[in-house]
Parts: sequence; structure tokens; C-alpha cells
Amino acid sequence: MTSHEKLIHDYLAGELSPEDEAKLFEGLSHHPEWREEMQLQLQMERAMEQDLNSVSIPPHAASALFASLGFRHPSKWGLHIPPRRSDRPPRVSEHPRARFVQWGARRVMLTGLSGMAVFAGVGYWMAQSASHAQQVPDKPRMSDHRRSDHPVAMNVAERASIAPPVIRSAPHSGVSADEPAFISNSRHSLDPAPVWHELPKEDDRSSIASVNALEAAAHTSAKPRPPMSDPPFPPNEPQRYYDVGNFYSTHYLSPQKIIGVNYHGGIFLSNDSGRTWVQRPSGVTADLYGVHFFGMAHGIAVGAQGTILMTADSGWTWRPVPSGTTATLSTVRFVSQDTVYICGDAGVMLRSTTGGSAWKLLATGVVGNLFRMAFQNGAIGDVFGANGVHIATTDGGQTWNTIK
Amino acid sequence: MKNTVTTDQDLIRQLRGSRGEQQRAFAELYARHAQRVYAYILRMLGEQTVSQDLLQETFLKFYNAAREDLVVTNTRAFLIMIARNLCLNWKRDTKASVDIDGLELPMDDETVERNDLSRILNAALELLEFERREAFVLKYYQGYSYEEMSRITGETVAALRSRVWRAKEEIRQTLKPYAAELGIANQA
Repeated sequence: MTSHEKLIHDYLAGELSPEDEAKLFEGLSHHPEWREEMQLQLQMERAMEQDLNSVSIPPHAASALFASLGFRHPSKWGLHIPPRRSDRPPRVSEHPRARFVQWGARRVMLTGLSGMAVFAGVGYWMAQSASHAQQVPDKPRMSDHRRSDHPVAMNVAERASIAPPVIRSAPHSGVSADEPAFISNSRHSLDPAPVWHELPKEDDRSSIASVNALEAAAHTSAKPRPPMSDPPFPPNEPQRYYDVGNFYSTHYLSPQKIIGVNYHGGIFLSNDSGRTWVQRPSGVTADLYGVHFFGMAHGIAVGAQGTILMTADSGWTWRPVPSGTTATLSTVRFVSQDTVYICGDAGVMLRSTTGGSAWKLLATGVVGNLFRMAFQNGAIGDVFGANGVHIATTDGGQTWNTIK
Repeated sequence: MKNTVTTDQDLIRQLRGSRGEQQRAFAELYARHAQRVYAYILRMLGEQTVSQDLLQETFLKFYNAAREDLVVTNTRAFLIMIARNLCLNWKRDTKASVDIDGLELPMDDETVERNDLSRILNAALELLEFERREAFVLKYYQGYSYEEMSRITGETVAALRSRVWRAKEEIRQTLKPYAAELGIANQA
């Protein structure tokens, strides 16, 4: 007989049969120790990810290698070599399975175990912004192929994962502990006969909330920041360009060190105030319209087709981040290390509270294109767009007032 | 102007080019893969100095192999295979043992700033026998599928599945006493 530990392990590995999956979810609804085991295994995965990210090669080791080959070492450029996050095992929150959860009168679809993890928070979030949630149509927003068959799930899970209040323990205001809560392994909102399992009351929900906190903490905890005192632009890079065309956006890391983005995914770095440039691979062909950095290392570039790229090494390497939209994105601004805003065409506003790794689509009520932003802090800001549109928020984009 | 991403295969071809091309290509390949390869070696052996030496040797072997018209379809897997052989040789030569008493605080420079769970997890990893540890590291630290792991190690998928689960089970058992302290769960 398969232990529940093994069921959870296989589930997280995406290798559980439908029959065993049903058994797992039934067990999760009845047994607190199963949920504790879930927490343990989630924690282990998180710890492994942290551990992997914490491994860095000492500069002297790399220097010895390059010297043995007679090569100049990239550390001369200050090159930091971060883990390539796109190659890592998918996070639990990226799990391709989808689930529904009924909280009180609300029926919410979630993503697999991370869905369960954020389940209490979703209830709170939905309670706080029920009207907003109803305005957002259940249509695909995530381009990630792993999520494409469960688009609504990512909608909710994504929102939940970046809603700050979910970190607190359940129950929250608006969600009574006395209300029945259910969990189901149904995969689709049109499932004709979903099997629902009632969850215990408050004390057991809080254990789920703590898993939720675990998930949320992963998004809000400090990311490993490479010690970058000097951007890693090679001073004598042979392939240098003197004419790279026009930039749609530039960012100055220092008077000498500039990053510019332009058409066809072009990202260029200069180490000499723009006299010469080196090109770095962006991995995309979409035109890039905006770039902004927080500090010297962490930056985000945005562009056509909902393109968002992130760098953690001053622009040397970039990785794509799902934006949840295909609209053209014009401008990106870091308000703080973790809070970032993006505006774009068709009234699109995106907000990240995780330094850019996850994005929430904000409902602005604007249909025209938005071009520029000015934020005083994470909550208060103004956005300007075509035809003189001027909207403002004082609550981090939850609501918008039309100034003009 | 069209921008293209240089593939690993292109870079490996450039390793047979001019000195300047070689240097650029090698630096780029190193930037792409060294951290993961180092993580593999470090978590397999648990010794920083040795791991750094083996990382250097891995890339030297890779460079020499790539210079000889080698066709590599998966650079990372190829590097891991080289690193794996070096790790096996090192283990065979040293027959290193792990002191269980050292589990509590196997601190080294790089663990100082990690949280307790990571530290204990790492210590638990060091207690695993080599085959299980390797399966676990390839699965969770390198993100390989069982089929890819099978190609790297020459073991069957079933055997690797079993090893990964056994490794995780052992690590769970190691972590359990710390669960309450770490706020993971109520201690059973």
C-alpha cells in the first residue's frame, strides 16, 4: 500500500495516477498529518531551490580555470554568474495541475498544491475584491505552456500569490471560520461531477494558511542579490558596435555604463558612455520598449507581445517572465526592490510585489494606451496615456481615479 | 538589424576558431553552465575545495573534447557526465566518510547566511549514500527527467525513481526532528 508521503511525493513530481490523485485529495481533506506532510515536502522543495541559488563559484576558482587556458577571465569584467532560473525544476507554484476550492459561497479554481497552499489567502483576497474578480473574465492570460490548459487556475493563483494579505493566518475578515470549506481534485470548471471534500474548521484551515504563508514568503523574501559593485561590461570586448540604431529606452547604471533596448529584442550595453556597445542575447524577437533597473544588478525590460525580461546581473543575461498579457508593454518602473509597475497598450497595468517574478494585471478601466508612470511609493502613483488620459491610484492599483 | 541567440553548438564550434573566438565562446559557455555543474559537484562531494578543483578539471576536459570535433547535443548533460566521472574517481580514491555527529552544524563559508532548513537539508544530503544522493541531486538540483538521468548515469528509470524516493524519505526522516523548530509542522 502506498503511503501518503509517497503519494504527495509522486504528486509533486507530476507522476500520480488519477485514481491515486483522488485518494490523495480525499486524504488531504480528512487528515491534518497529510497536510503537515505536504508542508514538509513543500518546504523541502523551497529549501532546495534556495540552496541551489546560494551556490556560487568563488572568483579565484574561475580565475584558475581561465588562466590555465590562457584566457582572460570574465571576473575581470565583474561578471557574476547567477543560476539560470529558467533551467531549474519548476516551482510548486508552477505545477501544471489545477484544482477547485469552494470557500463559503465562492468557488475558486486553483493550481495544484500551490493552489491549496494559497487557498486560504484566495478566500480572503476574493472577499476583499469580489467585484473586481467578477469583472475579470475567465480567459487565458498566461502564455506558459505548462499552464495553458488551466488558464483560469493561473489567473487566481497568480493573483493570490501576489496579494500581500494572504500571508496572515486564516480566517480573515469576510471569510467566516464557521463557513464550510471544500477541496476538490476536479480539473475543470465544467466538470459535471466534481468530488468535493469538506475541510475541517478553523484550526485545520490555519495549517493550510501556514502553507500559504510559505508560498507567499517565497515570493516576498529577499532574493539572492549578486554583490555587484561594478557592472560586468567587458572593457575590451572584441565584438563592439559603434552604430546600434535608435534605442526605444535606455537606463544609466552610471554615467559610463548604459543599457539600451530597441527593436527585434535588441539589448545593448555600453561601458564608455555610449561610444561603443556590446549586444547581449535577449532570447526574444519582440521589440523592446522599456527598461529600468533597481540598483546596479536587477533590471526588467518590457516590449511587444507582453514581453517581460529580467536580469540579475546588470544586463549580462536575461530570462523571460510570463506577463499574462499579449498587449504591448511600454514602460517599466521599479518603485522599490520588490514593487514594480508596468504600463502598456489597451489600458494594461501590471504590478509585481516580487521584484518582477510574478505579475498581477490591474483593472484600470482605461481602453487607450498608457505610456508613462510616476509613483511616489508602492501605493500612490499617476499614469499617463494617449488622448491626455491621466489616472491615479492611492492603493497600489486596486482602484483608479480618472483625473482627466 | 536581426539579433540572434548563439546556441551552445555554435559556441562549441567557435572553440575551434581563432583565439579571440575561443575565449569569447568559452566564457559564454562557462557563464551558462558553470554554476549548475558546480552545484552538482558540491552537493555530491560536500567539499568546496575539491569541488572547485573538479569544476576546473571538468571544464578543461570539456574544452579539450570540444576542440576535437566532438558533437554535443546537450552541453549541460555532457558537462555533468564529465563531472560525474570525476566525482566517482574522487570518491573511489578517497573513500570519504561522513561523520554523523557532524550533522548538527556542518557549517562552511557558504552556509553561514542560509536559513536553518537549507543548512540541515544540506547536511541530510551528505548523509545519503552516493547513488541516492546523485539521483536526488540530478532530479532536484539539476531538474532532469528520469529519462535524462538514465542517459547520464546508465541506470534504469525504475532504479532512479526508487533512489530519488528513498533519498527523499531519508532526508525527511532527518528533517523531522527539526520540523517543529523550523515551523514546518507539529512534531509527530
